[in-house]
Amino acid sequence: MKSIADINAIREEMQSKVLIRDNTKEGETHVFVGMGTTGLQSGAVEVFNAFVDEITSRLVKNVRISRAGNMDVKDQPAAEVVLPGKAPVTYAGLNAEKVKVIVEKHILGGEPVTEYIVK
Amino acid sequence: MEISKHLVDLVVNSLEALAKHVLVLITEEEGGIALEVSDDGVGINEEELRKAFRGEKAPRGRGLSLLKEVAESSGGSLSYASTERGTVVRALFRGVPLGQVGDALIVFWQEMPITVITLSAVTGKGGYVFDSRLIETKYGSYTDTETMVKVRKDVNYTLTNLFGGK
Repeated sequence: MKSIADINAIREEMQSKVLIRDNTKEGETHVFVGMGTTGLQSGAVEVFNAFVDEITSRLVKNVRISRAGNMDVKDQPAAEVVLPGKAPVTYAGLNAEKVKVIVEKHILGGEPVTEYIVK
Repeated sequence: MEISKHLVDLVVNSLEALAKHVLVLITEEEGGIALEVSDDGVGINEEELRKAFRGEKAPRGRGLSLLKEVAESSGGSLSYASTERGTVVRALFRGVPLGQVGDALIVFWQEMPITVITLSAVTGKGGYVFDSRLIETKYGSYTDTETMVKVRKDVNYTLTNLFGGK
């Protein structure tokens, strides 16, 4: 018999799979950059383009970079990264330097960058 | 805020009005730069428009109060016309930097296969047209981020030359 913790873990996994099916193709990483007016004023376009540059220069394939609406976080610009089979991770207070670290550690390495995650 | 950032707000408004075609026109005139965004979307009603221009929370018309403030305080102007068959917004800026239009344009990359985005630019030095329907013909595969970089570079380079880095 499975424990409550096991059941919760299975539920979380299933929920993340449902979300990924909704948003991405199989095996594709998806990056959403918040383009609300506050985000725009804080450098969201620069962050979007930093993701494009970093993904391109590192020859990473199967990454889709999209505009998202207003991400309701205090520290803009913000972005959400969804790796295949994983739950979305929302980052805030981004700039081009932080994007480099996220691409290196999270998108390529699979480990979210905890210090940039929305608290 | 640079003109290219206002362009993002206006194109988002067009997409939220379910436009199938968005036409962006950037021209040099009267000692300034005019940005015109027109679309074939469902428009915005007067009440929403009043709220948007007052800077109140409105479901549609984002960025309009800021655009009006920036355009008018620069010595330019803003005009707006909307019906249920389309919308035209025209802002004239004086002394406001154009910014990197290519950087702003590729923000809509995922929408371009569904909504046609055409960008025209005209100055005394010449003209330029970008049409999202021709991306694969002119630049490369839609699913490759390298194609996004090519489009951005082409638009930024051409507009910087046309507008002399204003």
